[in-house]
Amino acid sequence: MYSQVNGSIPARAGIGLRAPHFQAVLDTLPEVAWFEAHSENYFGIADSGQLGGVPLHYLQRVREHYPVSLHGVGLSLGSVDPLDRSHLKQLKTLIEIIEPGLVSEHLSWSSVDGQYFNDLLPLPYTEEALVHLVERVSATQDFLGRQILVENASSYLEFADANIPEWEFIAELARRADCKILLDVNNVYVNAMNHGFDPQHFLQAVPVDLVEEIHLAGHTVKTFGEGVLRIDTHDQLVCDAVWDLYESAVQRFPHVPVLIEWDSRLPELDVLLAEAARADGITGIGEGERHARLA
Amino acid sequence: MPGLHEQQRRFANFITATDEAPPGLAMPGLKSGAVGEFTDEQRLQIYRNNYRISLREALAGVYPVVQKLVGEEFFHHAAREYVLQHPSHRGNLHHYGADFATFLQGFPGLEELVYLPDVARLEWAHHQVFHATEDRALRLSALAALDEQAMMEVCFVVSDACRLLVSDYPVVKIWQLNQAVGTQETLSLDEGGVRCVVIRHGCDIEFHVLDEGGFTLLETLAQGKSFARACEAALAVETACDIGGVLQYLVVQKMIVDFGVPPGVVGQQVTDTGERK
Repeated sequence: MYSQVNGSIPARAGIGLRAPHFQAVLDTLPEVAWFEAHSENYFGIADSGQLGGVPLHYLQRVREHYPVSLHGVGLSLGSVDPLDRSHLKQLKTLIEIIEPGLVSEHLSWSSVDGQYFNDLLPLPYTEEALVHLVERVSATQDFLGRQILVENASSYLEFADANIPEWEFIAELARRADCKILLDVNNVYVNAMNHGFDPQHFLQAVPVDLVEEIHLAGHTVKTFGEGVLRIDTHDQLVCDAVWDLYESAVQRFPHVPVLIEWDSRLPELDVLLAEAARADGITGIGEGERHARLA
Repeated sequence: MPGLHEQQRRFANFITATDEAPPGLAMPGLKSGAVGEFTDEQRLQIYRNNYRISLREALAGVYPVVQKLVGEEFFHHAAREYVLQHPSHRGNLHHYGADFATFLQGFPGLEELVYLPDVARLEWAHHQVFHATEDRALRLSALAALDEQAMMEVCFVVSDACRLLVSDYPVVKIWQLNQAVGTQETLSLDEGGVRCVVIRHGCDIEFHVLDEGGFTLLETLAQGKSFARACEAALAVETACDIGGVLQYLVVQKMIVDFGVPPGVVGQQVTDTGERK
């Protein structure tokens, strides 16, 4: 369907596709290698589950010019509720329509007993949770008929019964479930600061061959009395410390696509493009090489 | 230690509770802070806030005119109550907010804004149409192939990208006036009500204000009734209703996109390609 564009995600910088930028992207076809779309934004809301709507129309037009990855925020992989089959079915249909280079979800949960919180809630890193996640990721991959990437989430607390370090948990999940890892470097940094570990340690502990995508985003520093917490807000520029950590990540995981995420207080498209260009600069990709468009 | 299910339940109970949560609310077992001096409540409160804000922003995304009419502060107050009373049941946030109009109807402080629930209904219709599946075109040749009696027994399918709304207030004008920034234009509620069809053509969403007869015809068809029943209903409310003109309008505007002939009706049966069997 999109034969004029190679659908695989190149090892270059992409940006998140957001509704306020749809028209600007199509009008200007900016020099960026690929786009990532939040899967659920393109499901529509038909009772029948049939996909449709204006956002899907735009995503299809964007896909005619760029490789696209689909990034889910609502599957609730870590929940103890049964997997939502209708959600999975819609995702599978979207995959058939868009032919994405990569499909990803989060190492988190967002629903229990049928109620959804529409947030990426933290899991206790225990053997019980690991066994559960392996089963859920495997079931998802079986249903979709393809491998997915699972992203490390940010968190503002840890559970008392957690006895597996986060980096071991996600690596072990990827090994046992035969999935890949979407390494969010900002989330590594946020968690390292919030929970007091060395972010380099996280990077070194994750096997090189398991990481197939990297995320970069801005976060917010919140002060509560004497204490400081970093909140993963995706509403500003990537901070210097995260850029530094990204440089280390590139050393360890070369030739991996990287994405600039920006979800609220969205600036002009140019701001995201400049962040993507900065990321490409770090991996040594120069002007004129960034665009993967063939059409 | 509680198992994963109990942990998630406790977590959920905390973030969905009011700030004046009952004492003795079972907490998920958290590790005491390695960094900073935060209580369990302070850490969980971040998730509670995120939960409220993400659903409130979902509402604000669907109901920008309501927010403009009541002001941001009041909207936040109303949204907070709505979120407490109406949990989200889907991983796709675009489903959230379907009951907001009904909720606003009885909400204290909005007694004077009598038209507000209908403005919310219009915005929800707009939202539904924005996310609806693409409209198809009616198979005109197939329709033309029907004889008169079969035609009357036909049940038309109303487009999924189309919603109907009746209001005692000029809600379409209210909606349009509130799209402009800093407009000084005012309107009187004495202008009266409106019968409106919200429809999407491609990426453009349009409001069509219909006469009583035409609206009733479409409304009756949308209930799954036959064309004959819809004509009766339309003529009952508007004796001079131009049925042929209305039908043509509904087809051209892609408000009706398909039709079915009930079994047993004498007339030409039609295949999907519009050819006679």
